Amino acid sequence: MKCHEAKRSLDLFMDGELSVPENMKVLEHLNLCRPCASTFEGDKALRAALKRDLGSVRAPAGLSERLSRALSGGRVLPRRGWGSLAAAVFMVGLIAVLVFTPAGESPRAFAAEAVERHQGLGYVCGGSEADRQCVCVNCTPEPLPAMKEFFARRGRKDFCFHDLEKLLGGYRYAGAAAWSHRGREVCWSTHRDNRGRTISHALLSSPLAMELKPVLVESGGRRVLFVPREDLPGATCVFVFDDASEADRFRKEIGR
Amino acid sequence: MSTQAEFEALLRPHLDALYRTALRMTANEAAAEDLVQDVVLRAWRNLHRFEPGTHFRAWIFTILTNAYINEYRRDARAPILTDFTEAEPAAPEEAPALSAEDVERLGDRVGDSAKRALQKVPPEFRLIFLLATLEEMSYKEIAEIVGIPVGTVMSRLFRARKILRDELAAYAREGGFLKERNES
Repeated sequence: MKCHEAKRSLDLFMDGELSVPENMKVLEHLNLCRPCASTFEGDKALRAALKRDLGSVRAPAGLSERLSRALSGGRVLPRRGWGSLAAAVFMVGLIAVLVFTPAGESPRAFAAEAVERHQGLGYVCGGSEADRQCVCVNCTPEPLPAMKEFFARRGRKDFCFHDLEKLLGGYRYAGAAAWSHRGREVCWSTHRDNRGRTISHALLSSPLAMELKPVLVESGGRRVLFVPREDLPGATCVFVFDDASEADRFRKEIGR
Repeated sequence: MSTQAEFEALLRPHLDALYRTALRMTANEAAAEDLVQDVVLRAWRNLHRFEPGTHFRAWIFTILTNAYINEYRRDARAPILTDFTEAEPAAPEEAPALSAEDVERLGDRVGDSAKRALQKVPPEFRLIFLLATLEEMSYKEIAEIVGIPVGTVMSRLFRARKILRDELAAYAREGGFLKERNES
Protein backbone atom coordinates (compact mmCIF):
# COMPACT_ATOMS: atom_id res chain seq x y z
CA MET A 1 0.00 0.00 0.00
CA LYS A 2 1.38 3.41 -0.95
CA CYS A 3 1.18 6.54 1.19
CA HIS A 4 -1.57 8.24 -0.78
CA GLU A 5 -3.70 5.11 -0.58
CA ALA A 6 -3.09 4.85 3.14
CA LYS A 7 -4.01 8.51 3.64
CA ARG A 8 -7.30 7.98 1.82
CA SER A 9 -8.05 4.86 3.83
CA LEU A 10 -7.07 6.31 7.19
CA ASP A 11 -10.47 7.81 7.94
CA LEU A 12 -12.28 4.64 6.97
CA PHE A 13 -9.78 2.61 8.97
CA MET A 14 -10.39 4.68 12.08
CA ASP A 15 -14.15 4.66 11.51
CA GLY A 16 -14.06 0.87 11.43
CA GLU A 17 -15.42 0.78 7.91
CA LEU A 18 -12.72 -1.34 6.28
CA SER A 19 -12.77 -5.07 5.79
CA VAL A 20 -10.31 -7.26 7.68
CA PRO A 21 -7.86 -7.64 4.76
CA GLU A 22 -8.03 -3.91 4.10
CA ASN A 23 -7.34 -3.22 7.77
CA MET A 24 -4.28 -5.45 7.58
CA LYS A 25 -2.93 -3.53 4.61
CA VAL A 26 -3.28 -0.23 6.43
CA LEU A 27 -1.67 -1.58 9.58
CA GLU A 28 1.23 -2.98 7.59
CA HIS A 29 1.80 0.39 5.97
CA LEU A 30 1.63 2.21 9.29
CA ASN A 31 4.26 -0.16 10.66
CA LEU A 32 6.61 0.69 7.83
CA CYS A 33 5.93 4.36 7.22
CA ARG A 34 6.86 6.91 9.88
CA PRO A 35 5.08 9.97 8.40
CA CYS A 36 1.82 8.07 7.97
CA ALA A 37 2.11 6.63 11.45
CA SER A 38 2.56 10.14 12.78
CA THR A 39 -0.52 11.34 10.93
CA PHE A 40 -2.42 8.37 12.33
CA GLU A 41 -1.32 9.09 15.89
CA GLY A 42 -2.28 12.73 15.51
CA ASP A 43 -5.72 11.87 14.19
CA LYS A 44 -6.23 9.33 16.91
CA ALA A 45 -5.31 11.89 19.57
CA LEU A 46 -7.61 14.47 18.03
CA ARG A 47 -10.53 12.08 17.90
CA ALA A 48 -9.98 11.11 21.51
CA ALA A 49 -9.84 14.76 22.55
CA LEU A 50 -13.04 15.58 20.66
CA LYS A 51 -14.85 12.62 22.17
CA ARG A 52 -13.62 13.61 25.60
CA ASP A 53 -14.58 17.28 25.31
CA LEU A 54 -17.59 17.34 23.03
CA GLY A 55 -18.76 13.76 23.08
CA SER A 56 -19.30 13.56 26.80
CA VAL A 57 -21.88 16.33 27.05
CA ARG A 58 -25.05 15.14 28.72
CA ALA A 59 -28.58 16.40 28.51
CA PRO A 60 -29.21 19.10 31.11
CA ALA A 61 -30.79 18.16 34.41
CA GLY A 62 -34.55 18.49 34.26
CA LEU A 63 -34.88 17.96 30.53
CA SER A 64 -36.07 14.42 31.05
CA GLU A 65 -38.77 15.57 33.49
CA ARG A 66 -39.83 18.40 31.20
CA LEU A 67 -40.20 15.95 28.34
CA SER A 68 -42.26 13.58 30.48
CA ARG A 69 -44.59 16.40 31.36
CA ALA A 70 -44.89 17.46 27.75
CA LEU A 71 -45.72 13.90 26.70
CA SER A 72 -48.41 13.62 29.37
CA GLY A 73 -50.25 16.43 27.67
CA GLY A 74 -49.11 19.43 29.66
CA ARG A 75 -49.16 22.71 27.80
CA VAL A 76 -45.95 23.16 25.90
CA LEU A 77 -44.67 26.65 25.40
CA PRO A 78 -41.53 27.07 23.36
CA ARG A 79 -38.72 28.89 25.09
CA ARG A 80 -37.99 30.95 22.06
CA GLY A 81 -39.88 32.00 18.97
CA TRP A 82 -40.82 29.34 16.48
CA GLY A 83 -40.93 31.61 13.49
CA SER A 84 -44.09 31.19 11.54
CA LEU A 85 -45.47 28.42 13.78
CA ALA A 86 -47.95 29.36 16.46
CA ALA A 87 -47.40 28.00 19.98
CA ALA A 88 -48.16 24.28 19.92
CA VAL A 89 -51.00 23.07 22.13
CA PHE A 90 -51.29 19.43 23.03
CA MET A 91 -54.66 18.21 24.14
CA VAL A 92 -54.72 15.61 26.86
CA GLY A 93 -55.58 12.19 25.53
CA LEU A 94 -55.70 13.32 21.92
CA ILE A 95 -52.36 13.37 20.24
CA ALA A 96 -53.03 15.89 17.56
CA VAL A 97 -51.27 19.01 16.48
CA LEU A 98 -52.82 21.88 14.60
CA VAL A 99 -50.20 23.78 12.72
CA PHE A 100 -51.21 26.87 10.83
CA THR A 101 -48.80 28.30 8.33
CA PRO A 102 -50.54 31.45 7.11
CA ALA A 103 -47.58 32.31 4.96
CA GLY A 104 -48.07 29.15 2.87
CA GLU A 105 -49.89 28.85 -0.41
CA SER A 106 -53.56 27.90 -0.30
CA PRO A 107 -54.35 24.34 -1.39
CA ARG A 108 -57.18 25.62 -3.52
CA ALA A 109 -54.87 27.88 -5.48
CA PHE A 110 -52.37 25.12 -6.05
CA ALA A 111 -55.15 22.71 -7.04
CA ALA A 112 -56.42 25.13 -9.67
CA GLU A 113 -52.96 25.45 -11.16
CA ALA A 114 -52.30 21.74 -11.05
CA VAL A 115 -55.55 20.89 -12.82
CA GLU A 116 -54.95 23.53 -15.46
CA ARG A 117 -51.50 22.17 -16.14
CA HIS A 118 -52.82 18.62 -16.26
CA GLN A 119 -55.39 19.55 -18.88
CA GLY A 120 -52.74 21.26 -20.90
CA LEU A 121 -50.06 18.62 -20.62
CA GLY A 122 -48.67 18.17 -24.05
CA TYR A 123 -45.43 16.49 -23.33
CA VAL A 124 -43.51 15.16 -26.23
CA CYS A 125 -42.48 11.58 -25.74
CA GLY A 126 -38.83 10.68 -25.71
CA GLY A 127 -36.17 13.16 -26.64
CA SER A 128 -32.55 13.21 -25.58
CA GLU A 129 -31.52 12.42 -21.99
CA ALA A 130 -30.74 16.03 -21.26
CA ASP A 131 -33.92 17.69 -22.39
CA ARG A 132 -36.61 15.02 -22.37
CA GLN A 133 -39.92 16.13 -20.94
CA CYS A 134 -41.48 12.75 -20.60
CA VAL A 135 -40.53 9.45 -19.05
CA CYS A 136 -43.46 7.20 -19.75
CA VAL A 137 -44.27 3.64 -20.62
CA ASN A 138 -44.66 4.61 -24.26
CA CYS A 139 -41.27 6.11 -24.82
CA THR A 140 -38.99 4.56 -22.19
CA PRO A 141 -38.10 0.88 -21.94
CA GLU A 142 -37.61 1.01 -18.15
CA PRO A 143 -39.75 3.93 -17.08
CA LEU A 144 -39.62 3.44 -13.31
CA PRO A 145 -35.84 3.65 -12.84
CA ALA A 146 -35.71 6.32 -15.50
CA MET A 147 -38.13 8.38 -13.42
CA LYS A 148 -35.64 8.84 -10.58
CA GLU A 149 -32.97 9.90 -13.03
CA PHE A 150 -35.38 12.29 -14.68
CA PHE A 151 -36.21 14.03 -11.41
CA ALA A 152 -32.62 14.05 -10.20
CA ARG A 153 -31.58 15.80 -13.37
CA ARG A 154 -34.05 18.51 -12.52
CA GLY A 155 -32.35 18.94 -9.18
CA ARG A 156 -35.03 17.19 -7.16
CA LYS A 157 -34.19 14.32 -4.86
CA ASP A 158 -37.14 14.91 -2.59
CA PHE A 159 -39.88 13.32 -4.65
CA CYS A 160 -41.80 10.28 -3.49
CA PHE A 161 -43.59 7.49 -5.25
CA HIS A 162 -46.64 5.53 -4.17
CA ASP A 163 -47.34 2.16 -5.70
CA LEU A 164 -50.99 2.67 -6.54
CA GLU A 165 -51.08 -0.77 -8.05
CA LYS A 166 -50.65 -2.20 -4.56
CA LEU A 167 -52.84 0.40 -2.91
CA LEU A 168 -55.89 0.40 -5.19
CA GLY A 169 -55.42 -2.43 -7.61
CA GLY A 170 -55.85 -2.12 -11.35
CA TYR A 171 -53.48 0.81 -11.73
CA ARG A 172 -50.13 0.75 -13.45
CA TYR A 173 -47.38 3.33 -13.53
CA ALA A 174 -47.72 5.26 -16.76
CA GLY A 175 -45.16 8.01 -16.70
CA ALA A 176 -43.65 11.06 -15.10
CA ALA A 177 -43.45 14.75 -15.87
CA ALA A 178 -42.12 17.84 -14.16
CA TRP A 179 -43.10 21.45 -14.29
CA SER A 180 -41.91 24.58 -12.66
CA HIS A 181 -44.00 26.04 -9.85
CA ARG A 182 -42.88 29.21 -8.08
CA GLY A 183 -39.38 28.66 -9.30
CA ARG A 184 -39.08 25.03 -8.29
CA GLU A 185 -39.64 21.86 -10.24
CA VAL A 186 -42.61 19.82 -9.06
CA CYS A 187 -42.21 16.20 -10.08
CA TRP A 188 -45.32 14.20 -10.95
CA SER A 189 -45.79 10.52 -11.50
CA THR A 190 -48.95 9.22 -13.14
CA HIS A 191 -50.79 5.94 -12.80
CA ARG A 192 -53.46 4.73 -15.20
CA ASP A 193 -55.91 1.88 -14.91
CA ASN A 194 -57.31 -0.30 -17.70
CA ARG A 195 -60.30 2.00 -18.01
CA GLY A 196 -58.03 4.94 -18.71
CA ARG A 197 -58.62 6.63 -15.37
CA THR A 198 -55.54 8.47 -14.12
CA ILE A 199 -54.14 9.45 -10.78
CA SER A 200 -51.20 11.82 -10.70
CA HIS A 201 -49.06 12.38 -7.67
CA ALA A 202 -46.38 14.81 -6.55
CA LEU A 203 -44.65 15.76 -3.34
CA LEU A 204 -44.76 19.43 -2.47
CA SER A 205 -41.92 20.42 -0.20
CA SER A 206 -43.04 23.91 0.71
CA PRO A 207 -45.73 24.17 3.40
CA LEU A 208 -49.30 24.93 2.40
CA ALA A 209 -51.76 26.99 4.41
CA MET A 210 -53.67 24.07 5.79
CA GLU A 211 -54.08 21.93 8.87
CA LEU A 212 -52.25 18.68 9.41
CA LYS A 213 -55.03 16.53 7.99
CA PRO A 214 -56.01 15.55 4.44
CA VAL A 215 -58.05 17.98 2.36
CA LEU A 216 -59.99 17.16 -0.79
CA VAL A 217 -60.58 20.00 -3.23
CA GLU A 218 -62.68 20.04 -6.39
CA SER A 219 -61.28 22.04 -9.27
CA GLY A 220 -61.97 22.07 -12.98
CA GLY A 221 -63.85 18.79 -12.85
CA ARG A 222 -61.06 16.94 -11.08
CA ARG A 223 -60.45 16.06 -7.46
CA VAL A 224 -57.24 17.11 -5.80
CA LEU A 225 -56.28 15.49 -2.52
CA PHE A 226 -53.68 17.01 -0.21
CA VAL A 227 -52.14 14.69 2.37
CA PRO A 228 -49.75 16.36 4.82
CA ARG A 229 -46.76 14.17 5.61
CA GLU A 230 -46.26 13.96 9.35
CA ASP A 231 -43.00 12.15 8.82
CA LEU A 232 -41.67 14.86 6.49
CA PRO A 233 -42.30 18.17 8.20
CA GLY A 234 -43.70 20.84 5.91
CA ALA A 235 -44.22 18.44 3.01
CA THR A 236 -47.54 17.48 1.44
CA CYS A 237 -48.42 14.70 -0.99
CA VAL A 238 -50.76 15.89 -3.73
CA PHE A 239 -52.96 13.55 -5.78
CA VAL A 240 -54.97 14.57 -8.82
CA PHE A 241 -57.87 12.28 -9.77
CA ASP A 242 -59.88 12.53 -12.96
CA ASP A 243 -62.59 10.31 -11.42
CA ALA A 244 -64.41 11.43 -8.26
CA SER A 245 -65.30 7.94 -7.06
CA GLU A 246 -61.65 6.88 -7.31
CA ALA A 247 -60.71 9.90 -5.22
CA ASP A 248 -63.13 8.74 -2.52
CA ARG A 249 -61.94 5.15 -2.71
CA PHE A 250 -58.33 6.24 -2.40
CA ARG A 251 -59.07 8.47 0.53
CA LYS A 252 -60.78 5.61 2.36
CA GLU A 253 -57.85 3.37 1.56
CA ILE A 254 -55.22 5.66 3.05
CA GLY A 255 -57.44 6.45 5.99
CA ARG A 256 -56.72 2.99 7.37
CA MET B 1 -45.85 -0.51 22.27
CA SER B 2 -48.20 2.18 23.35
CA THR B 3 -47.59 3.52 26.80
CA GLN B 4 -45.70 6.65 27.62
CA ALA B 5 -43.49 4.72 30.01
CA GLU B 6 -42.50 2.28 27.29
CA PHE B 7 -41.72 5.10 24.91
CA GLU B 8 -39.64 6.91 27.52
CA ALA B 9 -37.70 3.70 28.21
CA LEU B 10 -36.85 3.42 24.52
CA LEU B 11 -35.88 7.07 24.39
CA ARG B 12 -33.79 7.37 27.55
CA PRO B 13 -30.55 5.75 26.27
CA HIS B 14 -30.47 8.22 23.39
CA LEU B 15 -31.39 11.45 25.13
CA ASP B 16 -27.83 12.58 25.79
CA ALA B 17 -26.81 11.87 22.20
CA LEU B 18 -29.84 13.73 20.87
CA TYR B 19 -29.10 16.74 23.05
CA ARG B 20 -25.39 16.70 22.17
CA THR B 21 -26.15 16.66 18.48
CA ALA B 22 -28.82 19.33 18.80
CA LEU B 23 -26.41 21.49 20.79
CA ARG B 24 -23.66 21.35 18.19
CA MET B 25 -26.15 21.97 15.40
CA THR B 26 -27.84 24.98 17.02
CA ALA B 27 -24.88 26.25 19.10
CA ASN B 28 -27.38 27.37 21.71
CA GLU B 29 -28.49 25.50 24.82
CA ALA B 30 -32.06 26.78 24.85
CA ALA B 31 -32.46 26.09 21.15
CA ALA B 32 -31.03 22.61 21.61
CA GLU B 33 -33.54 21.84 24.34
CA ASP B 34 -36.39 23.12 22.20
CA LEU B 35 -35.21 21.02 19.30
CA VAL B 36 -34.99 17.88 21.42
CA GLN B 37 -38.46 18.56 22.78
CA ASP B 38 -39.76 19.02 19.24
CA VAL B 39 -38.17 15.73 18.21
CA VAL B 40 -39.54 13.79 21.16
CA LEU B 41 -43.05 15.07 20.60
CA ARG B 42 -42.93 14.28 16.90
CA ALA B 43 -41.66 10.80 17.71
CA TRP B 44 -44.47 10.29 20.20
CA ARG B 45 -47.08 11.44 17.65
CA ASN B 46 -45.66 9.15 15.00
CA LEU B 47 -44.93 6.17 17.21
CA HIS B 48 -47.34 4.05 15.20
CA ARG B 49 -44.89 4.33 12.31
CA PHE B 50 -42.06 2.82 14.29
CA GLU B 51 -41.73 -0.94 14.02
CA PRO B 52 -40.82 -2.41 17.39
CA GLY B 53 -37.61 -4.38 17.12
CA THR B 54 -36.12 -2.16 14.45
CA HIS B 55 -33.50 0.49 15.14
CA PHE B 56 -34.95 3.12 17.39
CA ARG B 57 -31.80 5.24 17.33
CA ALA B 58 -31.81 5.56 13.54
CA TRP B 59 -35.50 6.37 13.62
CA ILE B 60 -35.29 9.09 16.26
CA PHE B 61 -32.21 10.64 14.69
CA THR B 62 -34.02 10.77 11.35
CA ILE B 63 -36.72 12.76 13.10
CA LEU B 64 -34.03 15.03 14.56
CA THR B 65 -32.55 15.59 11.09
CA ASN B 66 -35.91 16.49 9.60
CA ALA B 67 -36.90 18.66 12.56
CA TYR B 68 -33.63 20.56 12.32
CA ILE B 69 -34.02 21.12 8.59
CA ASN B 70 -37.62 22.16 9.01
CA GLU B 71 -36.80 24.70 11.68
CA TYR B 72 -33.43 26.03 10.61
CA ARG B 73 -33.16 25.50 6.90
CA ARG B 74 -36.61 26.64 5.94
CA ASP B 75 -35.21 29.72 4.31
CA ALA B 76 -32.34 28.01 2.58
CA ARG B 77 -32.68 27.69 -1.13
CA ALA B 78 -32.25 23.94 -1.01
CA PRO B 79 -35.55 22.00 -0.87
CA ILE B 80 -36.74 21.21 2.58
CA LEU B 81 -36.21 17.48 2.45
CA THR B 82 -33.27 15.29 1.69
CA ASP B 83 -31.62 17.39 -0.95
CA PHE B 84 -28.52 18.62 0.76
CA THR B 85 -26.03 20.25 -1.56
CA GLU B 86 -23.43 17.84 -2.84
CA ALA B 87 -19.88 18.16 -1.61
CA GLU B 88 -17.38 19.12 -4.27
CA PRO B 89 -14.44 16.73 -4.27
CA ALA B 90 -11.83 18.40 -2.07
CA ALA B 91 -8.41 19.00 -3.61
CA PRO B 92 -5.92 16.99 -1.60
CA GLU B 93 -3.71 19.52 0.14
CA GLU B 94 -0.58 18.86 2.02
CA ALA B 95 -1.27 21.07 5.02
CA PRO B 96 0.75 19.88 8.00
CA ALA B 97 -1.51 17.82 10.19
CA LEU B 98 -1.61 18.10 13.94
CA SER B 99 0.63 15.55 15.58
CA ALA B 100 -0.26 13.70 18.75
CA GLU B 101 2.06 16.01 20.68
CA ASP B 102 0.34 19.08 19.24
CA VAL B 103 -2.99 17.76 20.43
CA GLU B 104 -1.56 17.11 23.86
CA ARG B 105 -0.17 20.64 24.04
CA LEU B 106 -3.57 22.07 23.11
CA GLY B 107 -5.02 20.14 26.02
CA ASP B 108 -8.30 21.58 27.24
CA ARG B 109 -8.35 24.16 24.47
CA VAL B 110 -9.26 21.49 21.94
CA GLY B 111 -12.86 21.54 23.09
CA ASP B 112 -13.42 25.27 22.75
CA SER B 113 -11.55 25.64 19.50
CA ALA B 114 -13.33 22.62 18.10
CA LYS B 115 -16.70 24.11 19.00
CA ARG B 116 -15.81 27.30 17.15
CA ALA B 117 -14.35 25.40 14.23
CA LEU B 118 -17.49 23.27 13.98
CA GLN B 119 -19.62 26.35 13.44
CA LYS B 120 -17.58 27.01 10.32
CA VAL B 121 -18.56 23.64 8.93
CA PRO B 122 -21.79 23.85 6.89
CA PRO B 123 -24.71 22.21 8.75
CA GLU B 124 -25.16 19.35 6.27
CA PHE B 125 -21.52 18.35 6.75
CA ARG B 126 -21.48 19.08 10.44
CA LEU B 127 -24.36 16.73 11.21
CA ILE B 128 -22.60 13.84 9.54
CA PHE B 129 -19.39 14.61 11.39
CA LEU B 130 -21.24 14.65 14.71
CA LEU B 131 -22.95 11.34 14.05
CA ALA B 132 -19.71 9.67 12.91
CA THR B 133 -17.17 11.07 15.35
CA LEU B 134 -19.10 11.88 18.51
CA GLU B 135 -21.80 9.23 18.28
CA GLU B 136 -19.65 6.68 16.41
CA MET B 137 -22.41 5.63 14.06
CA SER B 138 -21.58 3.55 11.01
CA TYR B 139 -21.67 5.13 7.55
CA LYS B 140 -24.61 2.90 6.75
CA GLU B 141 -26.62 4.11 9.71
CA ILE B 142 -25.77 7.74 8.96
CA ALA B 143 -26.77 7.25 5.34
CA GLU B 144 -30.11 5.87 6.49
CA ILE B 145 -30.68 8.70 8.94
CA VAL B 146 -29.80 11.56 6.62
CA GLY B 147 -31.23 9.89 3.53
CA ILE B 148 -28.13 10.06 1.34
CA PRO B 149 -25.90 7.40 -0.22
CA VAL B 150 -22.96 6.02 1.77
CA GLY B 151 -20.54 7.56 -0.73
CA THR B 152 -21.96 10.98 0.05
CA VAL B 153 -21.55 10.31 3.77
CA MET B 154 -17.89 9.60 3.16
CA SER B 155 -17.24 12.67 1.06
CA ARG B 156 -19.05 14.98 3.49
CA LEU B 157 -17.21 13.47 6.40
CA PHE B 158 -13.94 14.00 4.61
CA ARG B 159 -14.80 17.64 3.98
CA ALA B 160 -15.97 18.28 7.54
CA ARG B 161 -12.84 16.73 9.01
CA LYS B 162 -10.64 18.70 6.65
CA ILE B 163 -12.24 21.99 7.65
CA LEU B 164 -11.92 21.05 11.29
CA ARG B 165 -8.29 19.99 11.01
CA ASP B 166 -7.36 23.13 9.11
CA GLU B 167 -9.13 25.36 11.63
CA LEU B 168 -7.56 23.62 14.60
CA ALA B 169 -4.11 23.69 13.00
CA ALA B 170 -4.50 27.42 12.26
CA TYR B 171 -5.59 28.04 15.84
CA ALA B 172 -2.69 26.03 17.20
CA ARG B 173 -0.21 27.86 14.98
CA GLU B 174 -1.52 31.30 15.90
CA GLY B 175 -1.51 30.42 19.56
CA GLY B 176 2.08 29.29 19.32
CA PHE B 177 1.18 25.81 20.46
CA LEU B 178 2.82 23.91 17.68
CA LYS B 179 6.17 22.34 18.27
CA GLU B 180 8.86 23.76 16.03
CA ARG B 181 9.10 21.62 12.94
CA ASN B 182 12.58 20.86 11.68
CA GLU B 183 13.06 21.72 8.04
CA SER B 184 15.19 18.96 6.62
